[in-house]
Amino acid sequence: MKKEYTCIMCPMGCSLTVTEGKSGIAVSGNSCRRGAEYAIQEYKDPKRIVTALAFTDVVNCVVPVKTDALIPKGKITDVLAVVSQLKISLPISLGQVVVSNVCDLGANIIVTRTLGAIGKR
Amino acid sequence: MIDFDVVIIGGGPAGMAAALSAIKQDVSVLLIERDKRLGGVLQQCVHNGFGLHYFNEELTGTEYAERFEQSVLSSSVKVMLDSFVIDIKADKTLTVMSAEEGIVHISAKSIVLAMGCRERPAGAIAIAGDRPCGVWTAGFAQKLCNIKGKLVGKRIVILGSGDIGLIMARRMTYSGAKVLMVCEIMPYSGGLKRNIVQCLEDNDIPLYLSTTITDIVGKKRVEGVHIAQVDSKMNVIESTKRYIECDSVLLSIGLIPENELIRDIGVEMSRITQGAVVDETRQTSISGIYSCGNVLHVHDLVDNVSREGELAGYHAALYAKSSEPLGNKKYKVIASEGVRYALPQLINAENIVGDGSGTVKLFFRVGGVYSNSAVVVKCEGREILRRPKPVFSPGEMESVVLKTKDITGDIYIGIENLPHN
Repeated sequence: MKKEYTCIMCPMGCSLTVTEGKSGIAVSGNSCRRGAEYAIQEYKDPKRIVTALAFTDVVNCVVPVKTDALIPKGKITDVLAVVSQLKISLPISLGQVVVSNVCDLGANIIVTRTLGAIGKR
Repeated sequence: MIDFDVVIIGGGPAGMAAALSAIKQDVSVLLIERDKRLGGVLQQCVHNGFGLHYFNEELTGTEYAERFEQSVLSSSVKVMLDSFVIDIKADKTLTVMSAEEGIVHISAKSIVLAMGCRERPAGAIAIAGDRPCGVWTAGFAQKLCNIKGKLVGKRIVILGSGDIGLIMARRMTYSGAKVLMVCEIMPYSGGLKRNIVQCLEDNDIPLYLSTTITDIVGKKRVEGVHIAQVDSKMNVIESTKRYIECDSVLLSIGLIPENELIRDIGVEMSRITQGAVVDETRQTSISGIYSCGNVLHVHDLVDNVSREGELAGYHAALYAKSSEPLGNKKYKVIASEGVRYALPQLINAENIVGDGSGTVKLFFRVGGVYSNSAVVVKCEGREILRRPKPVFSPGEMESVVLKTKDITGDIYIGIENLPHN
């Protein structure tokens, strides 16, 4: 098993190769320890914070949301599908939870901008 | 005529930070913003990655903006929203058009310019072909998507690999569009590595380097584009030309500081940054007028914008209280070999203000990709700083910290290649 990644730990952007064989997981192409750690994390269990937009009960107005914890990269589509079904009533405040434990991933979807209370737009 | 000690033009991250920093000096502060709400471009930056340096945690742009907005609204800073500065004079009087109050004349003891920047439009790069609907700047498409909930198209080609283009590639994909590719005319991307991986590679969007759009095709609506590779002299290689069917083109081809307001009052400008020439207090060539944030030079991290706003706001407040006499003699900061610009361009000679800790921070951008190199700072022939780094890239703003005691004359900053071992 062999996979390639671009390191994001610094602007160098090393091309990393992860090889898994009988002797375990090996990283090559990295210039430092951080690069190796990044490659192994990406290989074993890549995770992301997902940000998205949710519809509201006001025409032409969406509210930004995010997961409040890292979720597996492979589950991004599932989380986006949940967000696309939302219709959020304004006003709403920053930090408010709109979906708890989304897709059973241990993360909530929270609002990242106060809308309606300060001024509608 | 209404009097204020400090007037700040622009309520984005730079202006909000400047206002909060000025108000701490017990002066009267007016913050003027053209939008209906504070925050500037951060209002449409719903992605995360903001605040790692300033707040020591990862926030979305909207969260970052709201923290500052709350602080400003709960302070004694007077905020004028929905108001546009239409004129500014060298004697520091301003004419403001306000939705609520009509034309208002304001007199300031000092002014902080924090108007930010705008996107380079399609006209700036003279793409051949038709002029149909469906050609957007990436930031405007971002505003429609992230604030209004409108998707500008379904099959997208992005020209330019600046960070806004990369961020929008992911956003359009998440919002249901198909992003076919990102074309970049340079042989390297202008965006951060992190964005190339998490916006493009995560979503299997190809990035074609040394590639550009040669012409746009479409009668009423964009129907497609021709793309082609370019050689090292930027000439199109005809044999590589191919047609891509799409309904929209997003442009992420650079940002221009929005300095029209000060063009006629004689502020000395830099041709490279397209912002004012400033000293280490961010004072322009007109005493009492300060500049900070993207209107001064285009930043890649908002954290640096906030810090610069604080610096400008603090010194503008001291100026208004007339407690900071600065001499006329200034040393120059000169960008040499490999450095495109360094900022501030001037440092006060008689009384180096610095940041209060006996240091002056110089920001700079390089003109190309330099690997295995060092940034070297010289003063009167002496080397006062040398810092090696594996890679310098034009997409990332760099900085060095100089000791004020080392600054005894003009400063030269350049990149030196290190010998290969």
